Order: sequence, then structure tokens, then C-alpha cells
Amino acid sequence: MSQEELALAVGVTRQTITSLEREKYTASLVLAYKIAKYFGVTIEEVFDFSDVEEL
Amino acid sequence: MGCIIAGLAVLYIVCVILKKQFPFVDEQVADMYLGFQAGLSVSIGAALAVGIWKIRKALKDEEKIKKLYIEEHDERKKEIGFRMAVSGVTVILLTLVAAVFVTAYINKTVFLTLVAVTFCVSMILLVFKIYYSKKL
Repeated sequence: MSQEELALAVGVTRQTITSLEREKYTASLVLAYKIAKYFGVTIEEVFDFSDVEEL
Repeated sequence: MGCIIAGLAVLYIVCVILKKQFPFVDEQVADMYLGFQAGLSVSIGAALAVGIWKIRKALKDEEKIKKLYIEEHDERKKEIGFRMAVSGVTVILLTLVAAVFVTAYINKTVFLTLVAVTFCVSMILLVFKIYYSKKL
């Protein structure tokens, strides 16, 4: 699957997906939900929350 | 497209009439004003024309409409706009304050103008802060 396809499926630009992959941008809750739903997994399985859990 | 050109033409005619009806103190300022007005109008007109061209092009293709909609509503772009506005206003305000300090030694009129502008910008920011504090 390409970034472009994922971007189109979740309603953002390809640049947003690139920024998410590079950890330059933090997704909103809605976007995180859409991505997780698209892959059929939970949000925790897509995103790394180890930094938040350390707090 | 024709509406934009007609609108700009009307705006320019209004400016010329206003210039004749209410003469400026300085003829040089009047010319600069008309130049500024023309430049601003052409820039806005060009931006609008490009926008219309993009939308008209997208209207022919369902896929392009979706892409255009996504581009307009992309959350990262909104975040960039938000951060740009916050950083921009901060820099503008700091620059204004620095300019107030400098112009106090140079020119009274410019100094008072900059103080008034700084005050207005600060008040606008305060009003928006109160508004969004209550809204969100």
C-alpha cells in the first residue's frame, strides 16, 4: 500500500502521512482512529505511546 | 473570471474618484496610494483567478474534487496555519515594540503611530484570547 492510497482513504494529504511516519507531526484523535480503523487494528497497535506512558 | 476583472476595474475607478474628491495632502503619497491599491487589487484578483481555475478544473473529475477537498481540509495544513499565525503575531508584536523604542529617538509622529498600532494589536489579541477562552 502506498502513502497516497492511505492518505486518500483517511482523508488527509500524502505529506501528512509522511510527517506521521517521520514522527514530525502528531495525529489528531480522529485521524488516529481513522488509520487504526482502516487497518482493522487498535490505535495502540498503530501508534507508539511509550513516551506518554513514561510521564 | 470576468467578474473578478470587472470588480477590480470598479475598485480602481472608485479609488481614482475618491482621490479626486478627497485630495491627499501630498501628491506623491496619492500616487503611491494608487500604486499600492492597484498592486493589492491585482494580487487578490490573481489569487482568486487561480483558485477559480483550480476549482473549475477539479469539477470535471470526481477524483480531483476529492483530492482538492482533502487538500483544503487537511489537519496538518490547518496546524501549520495555526502555528504560522501564532509565531507571526509574536514576531510582529516584538518587532513593533522594538520599533517603538527606536523611533522614540527619531520621529514623534512615527513613534505615536507605532504606539497606537502596538496598543491595537495587543487589544485585538486580548479580545480573541477572551473569546476563545469562553468558546473552547
